[in-house]
Amino acid sequence: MRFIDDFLNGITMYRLMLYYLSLLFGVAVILSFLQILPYNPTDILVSGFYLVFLCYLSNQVFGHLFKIKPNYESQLISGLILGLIIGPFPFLPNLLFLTVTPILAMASKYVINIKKQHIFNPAAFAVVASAIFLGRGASWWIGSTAMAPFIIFGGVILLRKIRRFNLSLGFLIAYLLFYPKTFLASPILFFSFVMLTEPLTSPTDKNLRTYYGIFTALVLILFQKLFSVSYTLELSLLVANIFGRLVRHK
Amino acid sequence: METKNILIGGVVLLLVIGGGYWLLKGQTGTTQPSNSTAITNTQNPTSEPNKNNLTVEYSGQGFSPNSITVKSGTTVTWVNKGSDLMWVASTPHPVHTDLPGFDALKGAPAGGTYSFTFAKVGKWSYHNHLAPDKNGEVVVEQ
Repeated sequence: MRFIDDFLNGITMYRLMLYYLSLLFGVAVILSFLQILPYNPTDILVSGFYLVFLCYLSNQVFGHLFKIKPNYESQLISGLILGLIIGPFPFLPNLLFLTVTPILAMASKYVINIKKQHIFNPAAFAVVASAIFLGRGASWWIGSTAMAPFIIFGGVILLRKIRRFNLSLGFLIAYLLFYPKTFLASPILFFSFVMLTEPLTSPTDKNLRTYYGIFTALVLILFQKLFSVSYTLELSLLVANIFGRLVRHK
Repeated sequence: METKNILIGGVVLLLVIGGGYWLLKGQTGTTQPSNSTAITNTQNPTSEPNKNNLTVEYSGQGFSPNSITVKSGTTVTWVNKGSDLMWVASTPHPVHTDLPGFDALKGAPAGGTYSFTFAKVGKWSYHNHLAPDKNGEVVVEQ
């Protein structure tokens, strides 16, 4: 544990998240190449690099327009998250979707914010907006039994670094009480480790973070019961982001 | 801040209890237990349809027919006539929990098929997990 803590103390949470997502991306490509995952590794690579590149490019442009210095890791993280939840599909037939979504993700950070802190998780906002306006949603393909050990391994290390075990566990326990069989073969783990725990959109108070996790699970369960839309997971996060902003310390 | 935490915690707890009651209430008295989840995934062409074996085609633009009504015990086969992968799965996306077992668990390539035998009476929506805006429904009658 000492070795892990020394390592974690030596890097920023953004850099750790970047390593974590890069690991997942690389493992997914290898498992697809080995046909353990049912995807074309070329589709993952091409779409993934394009999404990361467009996030980087559009973030630089928006940063220049709004006179805000962009966080280097943040834009890459958003691109990797999108690459892990969109597709995988052939590049050219899906070019519009692959182009609009990362731009929306970066735009949301600059346009929808309070005191220069964005309200919504950029990736979640972008895939909800794309689902509504383009009719194309996220598949959350990274959620699979084969990826689960890697998601859990990196996720636990990440949670130790950002000290958000209670947030993630609050969500998982509340959700899995209703749907226990979804534990491994779904994107619930990835969602709870990576997207739900984003420091800028979740509460700063430790107790509130637990409630935030439970609240998100409840909203997700209700949405899945009430709505027949395909984007309940990301929509529940946007609602939780509003809740998180309302209870956030000033 | 402590009072605020307690208040928020109380509201969340009430929502969880109320929501849980509502959900469990909605699940009672539904359908007969499902005992059939015959799943195949092959690139072989499908056999001739009969009254116990219906076929739905996926073109990449959607499922056709989009809605079918079948008797309990009917096997429905989805055939991928498009070029992208077809991963048939129960709603809601992406957790596929409405009808446990109704999930191909992988994408069928062009020409591939996925079959599922519906034992449970009800109205079951589904979608292509890799293109979740493409969806359809199977109404299963007694």
